[in-house]
Amino acid sequence: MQSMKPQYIYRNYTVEYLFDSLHHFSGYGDVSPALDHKEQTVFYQLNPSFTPEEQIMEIEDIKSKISFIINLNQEARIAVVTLYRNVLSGWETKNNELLNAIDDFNINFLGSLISENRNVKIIDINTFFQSQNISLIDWRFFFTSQMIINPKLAKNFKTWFAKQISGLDLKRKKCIVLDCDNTLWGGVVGEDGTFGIKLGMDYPGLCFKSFQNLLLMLSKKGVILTVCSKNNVKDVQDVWENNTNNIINDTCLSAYRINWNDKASNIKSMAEELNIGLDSFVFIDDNPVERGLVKEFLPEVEVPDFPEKSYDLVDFFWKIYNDYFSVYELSNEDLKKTQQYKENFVRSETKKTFENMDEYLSSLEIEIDIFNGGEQNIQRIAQMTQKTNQFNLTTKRYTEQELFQVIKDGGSIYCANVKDKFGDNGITIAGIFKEDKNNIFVDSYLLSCRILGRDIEKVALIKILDQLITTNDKKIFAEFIPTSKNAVAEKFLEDVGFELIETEDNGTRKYAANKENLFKAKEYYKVNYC
Amino acid sequence: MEEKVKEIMAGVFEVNVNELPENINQENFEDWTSIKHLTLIVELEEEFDKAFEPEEISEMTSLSKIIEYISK
Repeated sequence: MQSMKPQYIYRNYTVEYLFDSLHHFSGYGDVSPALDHKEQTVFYQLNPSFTPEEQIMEIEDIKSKISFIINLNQEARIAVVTLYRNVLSGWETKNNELLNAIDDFNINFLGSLISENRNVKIIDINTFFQSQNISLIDWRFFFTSQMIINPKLAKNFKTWFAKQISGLDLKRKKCIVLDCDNTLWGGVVGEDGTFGIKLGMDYPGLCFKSFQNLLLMLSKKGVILTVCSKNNVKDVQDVWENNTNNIINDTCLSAYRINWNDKASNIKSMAEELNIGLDSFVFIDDNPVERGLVKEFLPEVEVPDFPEKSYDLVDFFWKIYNDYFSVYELSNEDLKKTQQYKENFVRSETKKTFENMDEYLSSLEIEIDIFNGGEQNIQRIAQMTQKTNQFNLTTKRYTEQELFQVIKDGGSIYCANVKDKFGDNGITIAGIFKEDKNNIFVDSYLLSCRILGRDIEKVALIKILDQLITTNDKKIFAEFIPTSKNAVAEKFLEDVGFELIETEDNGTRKYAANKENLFKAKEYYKVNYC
Repeated sequence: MEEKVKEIMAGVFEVNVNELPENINQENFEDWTSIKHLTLIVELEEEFDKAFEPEEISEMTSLSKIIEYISK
């Protein structure tokens, strides 16, 4: 199997542990475009601790985010993962309204997305969960780390996901080549005779009959069926004409080769006759020698292993179907619903598709409460300086006592609480500032990566500085001390309008700014000073 | 047990066992990120058939603490 290209993964909860480290991840719920990434995955799920009503609201949020992502990344191949539909364990939903909303999302919403956007593909996560037998969520890891899937499933998930992604790029197959004896029926027609072969109403003939019936369904869906069998052609034709239990015959076969030639040559000649490439063929034969030969001489042809037991034929059929012939299909009924849905969508939800980032961000109703660090927050701020490694300009660690000392010495400590219409993130930003007569020093500025991607980090710093510099026009100094973990904050000071003045030998970068050069916050951020 | 724990750590951090520092902890080994920490905990739980409490998980950030909680 080809190895997976790095994906850019849009996510709303912690999912890094489910993927190999070569992939890139958005911030939590961050929908900024990722134009450099040609392969993207949208992996949004619902918060299982929410009430059904809250989850339905979350679905609406996810819809608007996905529409936005697709609007902005027209050049990329975007794989959207379905929402998990928990019908088995029941802790989440015996709630019909929520189940309907999830189904509506998975079938109608995603269905209309793929019918309108050629670059969008669907990956159905429910096919993964169906085959797992441990609990799908571990609440310890959910409540401590926002992991929405039990980390013990991570290994299985990685394998499954890689297969799904490579399946997206895989060319769908067009044609099945079938052997006859012990494949389409039990026994050998040349020896057992037209009515002696096992095909029909009791075991094991029933297994072969079911297999044939499923194959016939596949041919009605447009898959080409052919036969390649080492037999006397008369014997096989006699089965076709006289054994009524046999339903795979020349009425549904597009080509057949019944002779004693080697099967590789036969398949090649059928490919020419049907005018389709060898890479569109799947070869099904119970005989490992024949399979080996085809694999050896026609490596483009897919050659799945054949089941040992005839009662496994139905499973085998569906495996073939999933691996080579399944597409995310919509029935006519679904399409009709999709149409209705689209009309409703245009009527009532015109605001859901956003033209640009500003429109989207303003719809979020972001509110930033800025606290001039009172005693009640000192503990939280100290803790944040101890634990924050990624978005942290200087990675200076402080205890509570040290922070009180900073205040005593005339410094200022701020923190900020961030919320939007979907929820409250709590205190996620902290800053420590020192000043003298003419200057202000940004000693520390750090925040939780959860809030990145909405310019909140910039707005908060600007608004804190606004409040700090009311009385006089001081110059502002800041620095970035690189560590192995804080690359995410590397460009931040430049982005908010600071100018690099010096890079020290140890890598520390010194910056300065005047208030008027700083980034201007858009008016749709509601900022409260508390 | 210590050997087994180190072996698991080496697997999670994708290094050889002999590249792990003496008395390894989250401070002296920078690949020990918060995400890797949880992967490590999951692997330890599977190997030693344990289920740690969240409070324990947040304290298990050194080889000695890990061994202490596994032995509990």
